[in-house]
Amino acid sequence: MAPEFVIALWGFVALLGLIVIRAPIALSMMLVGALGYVHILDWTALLNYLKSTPYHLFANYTLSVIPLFILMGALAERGGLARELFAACNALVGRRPGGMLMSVIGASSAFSAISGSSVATTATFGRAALPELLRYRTDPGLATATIAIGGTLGILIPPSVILVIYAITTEQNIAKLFMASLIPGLIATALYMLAVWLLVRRRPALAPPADPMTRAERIRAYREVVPVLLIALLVIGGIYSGVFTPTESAAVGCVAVLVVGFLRGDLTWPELRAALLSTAETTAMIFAILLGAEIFNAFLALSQAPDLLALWVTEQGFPPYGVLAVLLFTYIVLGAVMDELAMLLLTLPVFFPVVTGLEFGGMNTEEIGIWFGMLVLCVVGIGLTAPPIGLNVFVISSIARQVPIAAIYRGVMPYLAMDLVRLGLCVAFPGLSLWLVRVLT
Amino acid sequence: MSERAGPGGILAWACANLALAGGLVLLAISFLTVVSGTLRYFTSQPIRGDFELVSIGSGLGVLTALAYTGLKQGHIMVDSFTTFLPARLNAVIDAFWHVVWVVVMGVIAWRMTLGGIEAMGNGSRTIGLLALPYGWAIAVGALCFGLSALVALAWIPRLLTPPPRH
Repeated sequence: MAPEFVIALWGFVALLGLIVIRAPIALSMMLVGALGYVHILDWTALLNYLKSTPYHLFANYTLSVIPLFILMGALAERGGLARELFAACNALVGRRPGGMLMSVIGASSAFSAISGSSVATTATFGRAALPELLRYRTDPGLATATIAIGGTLGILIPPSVILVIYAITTEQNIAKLFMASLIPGLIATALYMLAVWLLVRRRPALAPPADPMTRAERIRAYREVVPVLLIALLVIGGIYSGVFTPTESAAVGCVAVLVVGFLRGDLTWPELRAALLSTAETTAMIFAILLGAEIFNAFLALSQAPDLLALWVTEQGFPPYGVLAVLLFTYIVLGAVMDELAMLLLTLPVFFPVVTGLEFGGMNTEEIGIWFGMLVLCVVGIGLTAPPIGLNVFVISSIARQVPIAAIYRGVMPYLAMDLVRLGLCVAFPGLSLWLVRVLT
Repeated sequence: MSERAGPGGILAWACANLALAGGLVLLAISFLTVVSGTLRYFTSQPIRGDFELVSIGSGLGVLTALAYTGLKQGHIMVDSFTTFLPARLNAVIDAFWHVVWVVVMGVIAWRMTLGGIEAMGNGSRTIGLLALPYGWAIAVGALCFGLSALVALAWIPRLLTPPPRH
């Protein structure tokens, strides 16, 4: 093996080793990256590198979209917007068996247009919908699982923090990726609702219907939800039409959510304070990992291993779909045990050149990049809810402590089957990801 | 870990208020972007240097959040491979990684202090219409990393003492 591979391989082994023995992920990346950097260059180079790199990484216009999208989601969470979406969906389908679960999925899907984070979406509906679901005697495992799976829509439906990270790591156009992910996101929504329908058809007791609402109540619910839908339309429509850059759309969303929440009296100072602090916590967690990845990937780039590996794979003439299958399978396995964000930041510098170097039915490099991004979103969504480490499951479990975590994982299974169906569809039909991009650009 | 009380007092106060100030900066750059975009649309005269202000503002918003996240033990780690170990041992391991975290944050704070002084000395400015000096912002960043080191340091004795039994 070439020396570049040996050192890069040791880097990965050391990194996983540190993660297994409880080192914070960001710290593991910083340590291994720094030592690799010193090994290839020297201490002086590392110490100089650290003088300004952290600042320039953090104060970066493109990356500013991340804190702003997180802030928008946090404000929406505290501003009662999720509650109104859930009420409107319930007015629509709540009286049917399983209708409340479908409402959770539909409302999560709409909420995802003003939230770029799966954790925030899960936590939001954990508070906004779970008490209602349990009051109507919905099966607790299925109720919590539905909220966790609805949370993954937070990153599937644009905007999406994971997709921003993908775009930045692979130097792709964020707006185009946001266009691509809408149809797969809506397919996910439809498939999850189908899963509910199939489950409840066999066992109606899993999800009893809500009490009927009067006509006046229904109209009220529809009217209340209009501002929320307008904000969602503004944020996504602004990016699609090219009127806003992603950062601008995040800023517009923040201001709109703040104004609506304030006018309705939901966003009081304690709520705003809580939203700002939760934004701080999420943002710094993400940026610490970004800094770790920056240092680790600087080392990886110095080793030249990613480019050499891409070249090697292309030269071997492996079947492209075989390579793709191996990469996606790796993601599913890694995603089950690792933090998805860190997983992407670590693997994309290696996997992306490999995939874009292959030939997939006449797609150009940019199209392969977009399509692969959608497949990555599918597997990340699976990783967020699959045992043993599904972040969304942990989030909902921390809100619903009375529900055993095993019951949540059992509830997640039918949805995961639907995720695999969607992954298959997206692999087989790249047009699902690329059609809207072609139409809008 | 959540059953242990984190550092309190002036340290916790400083972290929370720094993070809140950063959050308000994020809100401010949101408003700035909206106003600037509206002006550009109607008068083709956006706010001068809005890109530079947003970049610096978002940088400050994130940097000021670091110490608070440390205070809340918000930095992700994977604990599923070590659940079989006694809780006491896991706490010791966590304390060890906090020591390493203190060192790493400390080194970055030290280097950024030098980086900030250099940038202020040679008059580094943002590229754009405003050409803002940004050495001071690097220095603020150094302060934030330094505070993160302090917070991790304050967590160590708390991890090493067993949590109160209920």
